[in-house]
Amino acid sequence: MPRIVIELTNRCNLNCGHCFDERHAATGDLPLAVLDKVLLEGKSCGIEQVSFTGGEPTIHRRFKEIIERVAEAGYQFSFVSNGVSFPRIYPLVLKHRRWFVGVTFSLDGAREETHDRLRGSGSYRRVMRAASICVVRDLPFTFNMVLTTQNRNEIGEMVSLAERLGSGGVRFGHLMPTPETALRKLDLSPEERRKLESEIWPLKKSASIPVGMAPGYFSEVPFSPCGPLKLEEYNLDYEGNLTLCCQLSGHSGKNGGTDIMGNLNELSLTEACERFHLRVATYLADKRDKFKRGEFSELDHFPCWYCLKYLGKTSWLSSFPNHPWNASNEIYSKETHT
Amino acid sequence: MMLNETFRPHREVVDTKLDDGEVVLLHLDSKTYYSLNPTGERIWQGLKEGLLLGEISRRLREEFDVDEETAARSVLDLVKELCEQNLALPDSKSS
Repeated sequence: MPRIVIELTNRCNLNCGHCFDERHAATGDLPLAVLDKVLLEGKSCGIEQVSFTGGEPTIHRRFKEIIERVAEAGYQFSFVSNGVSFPRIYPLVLKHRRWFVGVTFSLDGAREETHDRLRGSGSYRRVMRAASICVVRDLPFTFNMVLTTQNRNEIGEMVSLAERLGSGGVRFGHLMPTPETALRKLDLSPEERRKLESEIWPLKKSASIPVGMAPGYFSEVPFSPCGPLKLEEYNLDYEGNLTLCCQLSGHSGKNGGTDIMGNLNELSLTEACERFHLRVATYLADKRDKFKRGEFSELDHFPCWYCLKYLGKTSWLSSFPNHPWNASNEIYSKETHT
Repeated sequence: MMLNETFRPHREVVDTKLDDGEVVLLHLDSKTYYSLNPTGERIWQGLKEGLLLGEISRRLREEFDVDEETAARSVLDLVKELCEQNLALPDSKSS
């Protein structure tokens, strides 16, 4: 089902060591006029579901109005959350549960000490409180775990934890390397990523709940399509920019020319979606050409890494010669893919 | 178990109060959920505050308009069950 991922705010009530700086820069909330434009035009663009992210989406100053407007407009909604505000906002979700698809709680360790090391003291128990509410109030929830050097040994434990807590599933995702994650030594090497993937895939079959991976895992097929490339997912940042991808939105600071299709303060959603479709077509053609020229490297089989390079967001790696993703010396310095 | 004793919540228990006064307990070791009604919530709150079971019982009498014996029985029964489920422990400081 086509959906739009909306970054409601880049404010956050946590300051996690592995998050993009821009995602907790605390510079703004999405204006409601932009949301209204999305809700008004979304269905004619094929959008049926709205998924909120951030920052921490539930601390948008007008979150209540947002949920009410989304429900009134007849869109299904979901959101990603660190769980901190959930005890406060869940009555609102209950009120509109007809439209509620589910909440994904970020849980970056099966063990309390691991999660809290990455996300701050007490944050694990806050996720547990949020999960408790969901279980008792019968609200669907899942967990998302970003794989880092800190939690790499807890994959099986995480699946077991999710099963026992009544989660509807667990999804693992690779960390997008940034200068900050490099300094904190959180990034896994390509080989380490593949090793973890080889642990995760069997769990898809053996676990009693759905287990999956977010786009970005190694793919033999060069054109492994993610939501945006299948034209099934649009991404809107808190400033009203329709961007290529939510995984990379905010990477390397504010979204720039290569990411942005247009700003909904100036364009209609329909116009921005048309630009998005053209941009994806260009992207795919560029990738096909690169593949034909025999320039597709082993690392390019990690799709999000490929996009990171394509969008010119890897130049910082030159300051980290020993970084595991620097080994191939194949850094793109081009930032001309507009 | 006596009314002049104190008990405390197990440190691996996460409690969450809901909008209708109910409390959900999640034991992080067993990953098991338990639910307490509003009366149970008041008893749980008393344990968190380190009150003697007798003091918790007195509070119940005041808040829920029940007789002394009923209040005491409610406290003792629930705390016994909480201990059996490893959700609460005798406080070593109690007399």
